[in-house]
Amino acid sequence: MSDGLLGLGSGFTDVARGAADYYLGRENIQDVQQLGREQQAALTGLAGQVGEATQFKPYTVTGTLADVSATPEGGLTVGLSPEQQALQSQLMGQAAGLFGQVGQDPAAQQAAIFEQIRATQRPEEERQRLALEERMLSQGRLGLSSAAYGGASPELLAQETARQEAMSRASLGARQQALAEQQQSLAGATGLLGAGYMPQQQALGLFGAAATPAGFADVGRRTGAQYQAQLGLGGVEARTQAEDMANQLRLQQQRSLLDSLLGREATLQEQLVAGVLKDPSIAEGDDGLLGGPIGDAIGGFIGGLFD
Amino acid sequence: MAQQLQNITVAAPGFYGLNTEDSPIGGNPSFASIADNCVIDKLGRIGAREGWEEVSTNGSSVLGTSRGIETVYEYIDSSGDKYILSAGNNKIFTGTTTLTDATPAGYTPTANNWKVVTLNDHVYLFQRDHEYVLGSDHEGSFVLEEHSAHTHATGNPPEANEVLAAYGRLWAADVTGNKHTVYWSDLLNGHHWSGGTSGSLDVTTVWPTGFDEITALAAHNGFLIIFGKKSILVYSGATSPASMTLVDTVEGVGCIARDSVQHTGKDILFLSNSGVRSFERVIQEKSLPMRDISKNVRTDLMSLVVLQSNPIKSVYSSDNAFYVLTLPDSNTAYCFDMRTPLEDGSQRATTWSSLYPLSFNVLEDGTILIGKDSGIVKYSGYLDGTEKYEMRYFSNPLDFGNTSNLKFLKKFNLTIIGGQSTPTTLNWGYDYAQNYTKQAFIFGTGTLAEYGIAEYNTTGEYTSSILINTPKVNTSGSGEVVTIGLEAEINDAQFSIQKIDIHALLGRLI
Repeated sequence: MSDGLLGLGSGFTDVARGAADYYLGRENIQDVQQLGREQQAALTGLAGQVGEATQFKPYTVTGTLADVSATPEGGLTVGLSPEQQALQSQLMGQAAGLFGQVGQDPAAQQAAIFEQIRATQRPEEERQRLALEERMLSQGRLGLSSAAYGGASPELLAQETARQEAMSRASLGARQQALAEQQQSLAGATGLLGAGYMPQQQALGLFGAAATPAGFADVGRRTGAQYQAQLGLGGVEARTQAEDMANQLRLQQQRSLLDSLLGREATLQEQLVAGVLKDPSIAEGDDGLLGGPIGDAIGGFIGGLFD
Repeated sequence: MAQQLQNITVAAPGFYGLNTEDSPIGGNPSFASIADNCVIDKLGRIGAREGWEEVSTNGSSVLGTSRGIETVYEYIDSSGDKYILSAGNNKIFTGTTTLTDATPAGYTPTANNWKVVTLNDHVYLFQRDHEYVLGSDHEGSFVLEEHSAHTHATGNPPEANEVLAAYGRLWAADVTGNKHTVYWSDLLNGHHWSGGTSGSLDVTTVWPTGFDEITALAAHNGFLIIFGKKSILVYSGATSPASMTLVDTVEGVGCIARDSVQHTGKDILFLSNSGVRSFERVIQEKSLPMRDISKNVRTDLMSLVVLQSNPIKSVYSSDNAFYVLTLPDSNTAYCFDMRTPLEDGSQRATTWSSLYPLSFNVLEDGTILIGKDSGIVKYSGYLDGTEKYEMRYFSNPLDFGNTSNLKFLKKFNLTIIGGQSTPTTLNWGYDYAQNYTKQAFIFGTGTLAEYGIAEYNTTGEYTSSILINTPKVNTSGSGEVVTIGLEAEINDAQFSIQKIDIHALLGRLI
């Protein structure tokens, strides 16, 4: 090989080679960077397409009881029919009423029931009172008052005792009935509440029944997106390989051109072969077009400039 | 031609007592038109009532200008101690010979019309608008005290005008402002008016007439009898007041005088607005039949009753077998012989005047104490104190069974039992005129034998223990009906009309 740049004869070719190598290397780097940017853009675009393809598609289930719609955010909108809405309102109102009874003071309910019980007892008590009054009047005992009987007569005391016992029993019965009715109200309210929710539950059931066919669409959509992503990636990879090959080919082409102009150093294989064969000429490389006298002349000219 | 004399005998004249109600013509000659200061004696004759003897000696000093002793009562405690309680001059006295003021200290009665009863070793005095007073000798000496001062007393007792001790408790009624309620005390505790078995009964709705006022109470034959003025209520089961019941009512007859109610043992006598009545003992009948005791004197009696402003009092003496009802404002007392009722159910009645009793009480020994203006006296002897008193008997007009002929009285043959220097006037008159022809006598001029002052078969003279006088009086005049009478000044001796024989000549028809 020649002296290269500092040897001015061969030195010019060396310099030229170095510049050429630099240039080629930079071009190659720029190409690779460009390729990377293009791939990024392609993948970004692919990702967007895949993302769009895999995005949830809201759907609505429509029935006679209700319309149930899924929202893009994954929510659910249940729209009951007017009849079901009215039924639900009615049931909820009734449930609320019963819950209101459950929440009442038992004493107030007890008093109300007590009055109802007493109302059924009072007519008979009044008849008995009148009968006793007549009997006592006929016996001349109506105005009798004895300290031994609390200021009354034995009959009146017995009657009053019986009345008080009846009132006590009525009060106790009213208490038990009030608590039982509260329990009944609670059970009834709970039942009505469940019945009130039933239209919604049925609507949701309807929506659930529609989930399978909706899943089919979703699976197809997601599979398509997956395929799209795979195909997109394959395209990107193919281009990357093609671009890489093109770069190498262009680099090789340019290097060949450069070697042709400026010669070339023996390759490692040539140097190994020259050592094996003991033929240094094999390891001399090529001078190229500008490596010979032309090169020397150019080199000498340039060197003379600096002399 | 001379006619034969017709002998008419009036045996035991006035034996039927007074009769001022029936027509005298054709009536029973045994009835009298006047029988004053008389009683029907034990032999069924008209006789003089007994007089009175002073018992208290200081009446004038303790009674002042008051009416006198208006209440007398004998209280015997469980140990047999006897106390005579009396009231007058707005004080309560104890004692008989000497009236001692026993009015509780600080207690000022304003009236003397007490009703006094005994219950369980206590004596109780009630009168209207007064806190009752009770007495006992539990502290060693007899003491009277009002309810509020008695340590064992409880409750608010009624200031009742009537009180009855019966069936183991006190019953009280007739309170000013509430004359329709009977109150009763606790059993055996007349001073316990609250708690226990005390109580009350409002009879407002029980009166058969719709309204009445309680005037008196009585216990009889197991019944509690509530007297109204115009009706009577009878309750059974009063031994347990809380369960007693009305068994009978009497409408139209009631009791108008609290102290007219007397027990005779088989009857209850009381003054109604139609005279003196009685319940007969119930044996088998449910109801209590009533008798009209004063049927033969009703009009006269009731005409006097309405004039009374002071309390009417009465007494029943089983020894004397009479019921006396005094009308103090008329100075008259009616005496009803209770031995045997007449055929019409009435009792033989006589009147007493000049006695002026204000109150009565029969002691355990049968003695009748009388409250008078002068103090306490007893029904005894045949002088009113030291004074003679007049007995008057007049028959009803007698027609001797022949109403159309003139009667010419010829002679009276009288048989008079008793008498001792007793001035007597025989009266007879014709045709209802009051201008009687009179013939005076002095009965009983002989000397009664006295046991132990002479000996048999001596010169002493002996007579029976009671003088029997048989005067004969020639009479004159004529008329259709004849009224005969006898007026005697009772002079410390019994005097009874046994028989009057009348010799009369029947004349022509009129």
